[in-house]
Amino acid sequence: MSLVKIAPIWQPASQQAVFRGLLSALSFPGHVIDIAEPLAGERAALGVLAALVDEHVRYADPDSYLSQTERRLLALQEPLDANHADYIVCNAARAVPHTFAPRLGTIYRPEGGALLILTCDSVEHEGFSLELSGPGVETRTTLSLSGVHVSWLAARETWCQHFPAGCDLVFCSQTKLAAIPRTTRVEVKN
Amino acid sequence: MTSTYETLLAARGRWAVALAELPRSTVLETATELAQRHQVTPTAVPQSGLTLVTLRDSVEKQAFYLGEAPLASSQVALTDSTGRTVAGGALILADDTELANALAICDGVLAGRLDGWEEVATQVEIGLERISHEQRVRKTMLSRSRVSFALLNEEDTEESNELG
Repeated sequence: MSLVKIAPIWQPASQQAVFRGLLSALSFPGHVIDIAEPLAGERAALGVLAALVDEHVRYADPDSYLSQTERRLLALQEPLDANHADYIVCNAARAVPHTFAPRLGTIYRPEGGALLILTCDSVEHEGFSLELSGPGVETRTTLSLSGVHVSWLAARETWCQHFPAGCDLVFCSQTKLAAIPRTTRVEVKN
Repeated sequence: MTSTYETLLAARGRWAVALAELPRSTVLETATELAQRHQVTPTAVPQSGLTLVTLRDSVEKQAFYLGEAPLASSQVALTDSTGRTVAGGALILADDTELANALAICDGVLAGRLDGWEEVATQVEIGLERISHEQRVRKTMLSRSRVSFALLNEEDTEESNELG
């Protein structure tokens, strides 16, 4: 028996499973990936962060999604301004702030683009539907989002207009995630 | 326990070293018992692995990597039955997370004088005494094996006088 009980989300096996799920989501835009099992009761966005970040990354948390304890367990430094971070956690229900301009990378350094982890109510039901096409989508696929302010999709159009520069979006509900990488074309259906 | 708490507290930086002198099973048993008395919450994910040991050369003062060393770390918060919370931590040169956790618990209990701190204090004293004994033995060995080169110089001088 271990002296210090660590939740599964902080252990390598769970983090690898979440990473695998995230990779699938980014490879197949619009596919909804259920990561409830490795999360073991934690939130999907926290699971994604646990799998991706460490003390060396630049991150921003403008909506104070993370608690002090979670920040310590993630070994994160103090959060940066969202415009300078590589990983940004935002509440998608709120409109995109007017001053928000994430890092987009350049044509020579597209990897400099930020990854936006957007928390929402659902990635499967209600809300509005998006029709996605592009790499990783055979013809067209539909993604339904709930609890997402439409301004995020309008802003994404602007951010990704000079491909390969741009940023990638990962929508996280409580236990599921879906991604829209910068390569994907998006049409808002309703 | 023979030392005062203040004396022990002054040596906090050596608690983990002192406890590591005891058999691993003894430290784990003590920590397990303490973990049953107090609520243990990790404040950082316990980790183990390799770390690069950086040194500076004595001439140019340039940093260089001497090599790798195993390292384990643990940070915990301990809450007793009255709701008082203290922090404990350990960083050891061993690939042993469980021992680091045990040392972190002992560190927190002793630093915050939570229930059971006297047992930890006694073990720390035993460990410190063992370290002190080992240092005395090494010092004696060193002084006994010291070579005086002064005699060689005298012989050289005598030889050169004879040749001259």
